[in-house]
Amino acid sequence: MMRSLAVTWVGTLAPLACLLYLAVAASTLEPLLMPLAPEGAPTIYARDSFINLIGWHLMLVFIAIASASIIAISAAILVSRPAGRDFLPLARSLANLGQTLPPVAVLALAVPAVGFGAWPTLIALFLYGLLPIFENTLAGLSQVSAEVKEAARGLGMSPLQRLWQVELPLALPVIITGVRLSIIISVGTATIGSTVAAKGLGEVIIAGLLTDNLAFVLQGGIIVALMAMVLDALLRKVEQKIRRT
Amino acid sequence: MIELKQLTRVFGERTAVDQLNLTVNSGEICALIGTSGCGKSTTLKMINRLIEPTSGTVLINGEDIRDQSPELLRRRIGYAIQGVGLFPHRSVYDNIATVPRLLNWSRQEIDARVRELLELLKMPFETFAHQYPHRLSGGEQQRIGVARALAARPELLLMDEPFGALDPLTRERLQGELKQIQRMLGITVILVTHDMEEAIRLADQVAVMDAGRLLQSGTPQALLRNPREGFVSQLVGGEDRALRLLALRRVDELVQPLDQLSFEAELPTVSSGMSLRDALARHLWYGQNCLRVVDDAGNTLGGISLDAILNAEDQRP
Repeated sequence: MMRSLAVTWVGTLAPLACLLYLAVAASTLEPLLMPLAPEGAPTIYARDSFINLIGWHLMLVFIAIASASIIAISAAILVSRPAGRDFLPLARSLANLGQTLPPVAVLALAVPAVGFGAWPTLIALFLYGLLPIFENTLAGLSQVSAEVKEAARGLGMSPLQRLWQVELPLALPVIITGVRLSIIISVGTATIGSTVAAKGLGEVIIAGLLTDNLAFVLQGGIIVALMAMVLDALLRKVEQKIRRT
Repeated sequence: MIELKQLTRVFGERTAVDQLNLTVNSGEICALIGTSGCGKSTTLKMINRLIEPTSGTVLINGEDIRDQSPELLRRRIGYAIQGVGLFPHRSVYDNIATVPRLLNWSRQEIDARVRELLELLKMPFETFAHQYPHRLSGGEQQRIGVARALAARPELLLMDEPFGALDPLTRERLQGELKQIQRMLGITVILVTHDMEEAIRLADQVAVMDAGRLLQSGTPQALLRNPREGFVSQLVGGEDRALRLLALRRVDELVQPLDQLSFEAELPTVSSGMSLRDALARHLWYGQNCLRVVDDAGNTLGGISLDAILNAEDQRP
């Protein structure tokens, strides 16, 4: 029991420990990264603290995915009701469109409309995150067995009660899988936001690319990857917990 | 009293239920029987408005069911189905508490009711209340399904092939329990089945349907003795019709004092509550003309002879 507990948590805790270490004490790695930086250039990114950048990065992701979740889940619920069934193809193509437009193109299109900074990035992440959540919500709702739904109706639950008390709780694990996928995709994608002056870890990578500083690129890349791993592991835990009951 | 009047339901081109008239007395079990697609389930679902009739009415104690919203009506009517449809994310306790919660019962009332129902079904509260449905056997799930249907003390219970998915032994035991509970609570039950044995064993009234029409309805005895030509006699008839009739009567109807019978000292016994069909099987098994009849406590009440069983049908009033 103790051993399996240790095994299940090592996947979460190991990346988390690495992430925290890099966030507060990256400078101790200076000797290791020195050969990757050009002569005379700084080895560790110092224009902003990593803690700050991680915070900005996560905020972008959470705001974008929280809004995408609200819109995508509501849309999936609507089109899975008898009254909204006609809108299923429309909603599906819109969600697909969000996924097929490359985020870089969205940034390019959004900057003239909303200016530089966080906004164009939020729009790109939001659009990119819709599809997995929408499709998983639909899949989760449709896998609720016909008998369970008939029983809920036969016992006298109203349509809203059936949705809240039966359908959504049973679809929840699958919905969370969708949200998890969107978050993971979005943690990586958010780095491009730095090209339009959104705060985040992308600026470390981009600074590295602009000055041929491989050490910067590596720092930024590793921290983003670790963040994605930690979030993935945590959300998997949530999913398992819900599924178990 | 439940009255179905000229009840009709049309799905597109197909008439699923065709001008059906049926009256079910309060406190009785009525079995709607027929082959798949004969309209029996559709008829049942029109009673709690899961399906709205195309025309015709349903009266419960003289009250038109359309006078109430479907949700309020359904909370007054128990409903149990073949797949059970227990909520997999809710414990046994919460499943049973579903309708009382919809009706805003207090916590104490709900708690007392759940305990009472589990006790009624002989499922210890401590063992079962906090289990999740997937941990239960098929028979246990079906019991909980019935408990959930009975939770808000409905006067009417609708059952759609509730025992269809169970093994024969479990099915027979649950049928017995259902009948017992129904008698105890005095509720009315309308049950859909395709199993004639089940209908005969449980029902006070059997209604035979085919192609959306009611062909014949009456007591199991009446149906077995005088089935209408065609489908009904096919359904109830066959070689074992006589045995089915015997299955409806009990040994204690035919007990005679032992001294009237050719008495032998060590006769095998039958219990007075057994059906005549099972008693006949015992006569054949032991190769005896006469068996000793005992009550539940083991006291001898008399004897039952093979002749009495063979003539049982003639003695009927």
